[in-house]
Amino acid sequence: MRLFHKIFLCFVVIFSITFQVAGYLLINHTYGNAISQEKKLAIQNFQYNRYILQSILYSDPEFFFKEETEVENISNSFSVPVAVYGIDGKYFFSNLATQPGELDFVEVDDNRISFRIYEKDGRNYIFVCDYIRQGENAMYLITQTDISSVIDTQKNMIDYFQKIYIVILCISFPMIFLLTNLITTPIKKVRKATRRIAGGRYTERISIKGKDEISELAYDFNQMAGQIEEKIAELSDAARQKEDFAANFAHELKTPMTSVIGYADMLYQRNLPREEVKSAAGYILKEGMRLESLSLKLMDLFVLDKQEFILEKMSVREMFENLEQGIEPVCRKHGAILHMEIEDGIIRVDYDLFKTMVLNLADNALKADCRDVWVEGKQDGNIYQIRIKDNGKGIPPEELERITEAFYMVDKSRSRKQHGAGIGMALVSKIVEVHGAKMEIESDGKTGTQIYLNFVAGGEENDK
Amino acid sequence: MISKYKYTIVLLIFAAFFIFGSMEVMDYILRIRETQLLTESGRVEMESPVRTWESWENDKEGMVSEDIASEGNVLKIEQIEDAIKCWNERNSSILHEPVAGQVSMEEAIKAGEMWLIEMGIGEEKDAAAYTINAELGVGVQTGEAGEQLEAYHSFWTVKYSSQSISAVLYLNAVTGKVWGAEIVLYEEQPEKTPDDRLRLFVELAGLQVSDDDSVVIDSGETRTEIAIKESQLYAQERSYSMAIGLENSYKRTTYQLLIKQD
Repeated sequence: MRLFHKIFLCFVVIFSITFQVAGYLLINHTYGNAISQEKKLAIQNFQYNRYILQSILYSDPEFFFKEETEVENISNSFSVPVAVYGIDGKYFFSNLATQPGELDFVEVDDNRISFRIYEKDGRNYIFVCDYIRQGENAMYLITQTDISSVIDTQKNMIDYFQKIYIVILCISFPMIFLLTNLITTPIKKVRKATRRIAGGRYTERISIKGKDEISELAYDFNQMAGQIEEKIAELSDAARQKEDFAANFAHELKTPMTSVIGYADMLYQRNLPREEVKSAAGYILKEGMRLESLSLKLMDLFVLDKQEFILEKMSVREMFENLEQGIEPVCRKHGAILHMEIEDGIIRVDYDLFKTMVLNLADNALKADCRDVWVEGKQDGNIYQIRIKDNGKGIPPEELERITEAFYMVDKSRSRKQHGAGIGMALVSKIVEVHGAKMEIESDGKTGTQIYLNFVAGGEENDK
Repeated sequence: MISKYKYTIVLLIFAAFFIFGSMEVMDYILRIRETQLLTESGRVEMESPVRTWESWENDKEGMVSEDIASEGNVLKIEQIEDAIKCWNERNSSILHEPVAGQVSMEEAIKAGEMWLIEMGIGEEKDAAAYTINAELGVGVQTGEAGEQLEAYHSFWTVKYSSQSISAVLYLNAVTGKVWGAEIVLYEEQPEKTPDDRLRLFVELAGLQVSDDDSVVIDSGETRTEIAIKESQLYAQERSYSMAIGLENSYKRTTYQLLIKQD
């Protein structure tokens, strides 16, 4: 059963029960009150006619022993039909429309009075009976009060109420239907959106109106859809990177292997002069070393993801004084000048990783055919910033986002000539991540590149 | 098509069943209740609208006339005012049987007959010729709760009618005195002056006339008013004559005790 059906049914059930219970209470109360009022009226009628009878007996104690025709004349004196009986049950007078059946004839002169509500031939009466004493006379007086009109009014009221119930129900049925529809429409919208998202339309969203629970659900749903869309994009990106990685890796293996196989085949097939054998062996050695370097870097890359490193507080200036001895000769070899300006400061590092990171960055700068390499370090508040700047070819801005991907090379042919495999910046990015630092790369693709490395100064825990 | 809407069809059938079912259930319960109400019988206690009268302790202060004290219960002037106010302002009356301390029907009828004789309206020999009707009731205002009143709030209404007279007397149920009357005389009776009649009415009511002069206003109907001593009460007599045809006429006189309006 659908929610629409359930809500609709609930409305109908609650409406019916409420209406009928309220109606019952109202009618029952009115009915009870009406009967109670009629009883009081009947008793007052009795009281009035009792005084009439007593007055008659006061004036003429022998009245009921007269001729029957004479007695019959008193019927006009009474305000309602009455019957008069002697104590022994002897009939004196009656103009009642019907006999009340059994009544309690109690010969006690107390303040209690007998009554009976009686129905005959569709008419309702209240009979009141009591013992009356006047002088030497004692008798029973019965009065009859017709309450049929009151009962008819009550019955009409019940019929009228049921008609009103049906009319109101007929009016409210479409209203309940519309109201239920109004409540369930937003839920249907959410359901449709869910199905579309399940079908792969991750950009699907629900329009939000109002501030009720369903709007909140729609808002949360949109949030969830946003998160899913983002996650799916991330996963797609990761899958693409893995594919690229596998393709690049295969390609990087194939290139040196082709040379190695070619030269090894040549040595195997032919009898070459000593010089050519040496040259071929040299190529094989060089490509083998390149493969070894590639595999070592890849191992570093994988190890960085898995291993936990112990970071130690170290002086930046001291580290760079040691590193300068390694970087400066390389720069000179490439015809570049190293400019180093380091403010002292303390950061938490794994020295070997830090060294690998700086050497890779310096190596990249030199591969970009720069004339100068600037290495600067300064502290700004709780951040220690290291800037490595070169005036080489730079990186096109649209490539900046991808240069930290493994095997990604801006200029593949030139990189290979320089024995590059596109692993360096991926390694640097991982090392920065291990140190909890941030790396920013700026380049216009023409006038060199600036790389900013921001460490937490003072050797504080990075995660603070 | 049918399977698509099967729940809707079932739902509508169920809703209709519930709607008409609830109607039937209510009808059934109401019928049971109606049967209970319309077959009720038994004996009920008739609660009197007035309390039994316990006359005030021998405190004679405020008593209006000492010589009347021996003739029946005596009320304080405040109680008289209260009883008059309640009776005059009644919208309807509740009939009840006399409670302890109230005069009986026979006493009330006899007191009324005596009053008529003393007022010179009827004669003792007429008593048997009257058609008499008497009832005891207490005046109630509209919307008044069923709280019990003091016994002195009850009045006997005694009607006497004969060939020559039709009189309705209002006698206080505790004192048995006539505190109001509506008299219609079809025959000429020995006349007294309105002032004398009113003074006699006050005296028979067990009250005393103030030293102030009575006020007589004659404007088509004669209205005479006289103040009651040391109270807010005054007595009023209104009378007018009316002719029926050429030969018959009647005179209507009413006596009332009223409260002065401030």
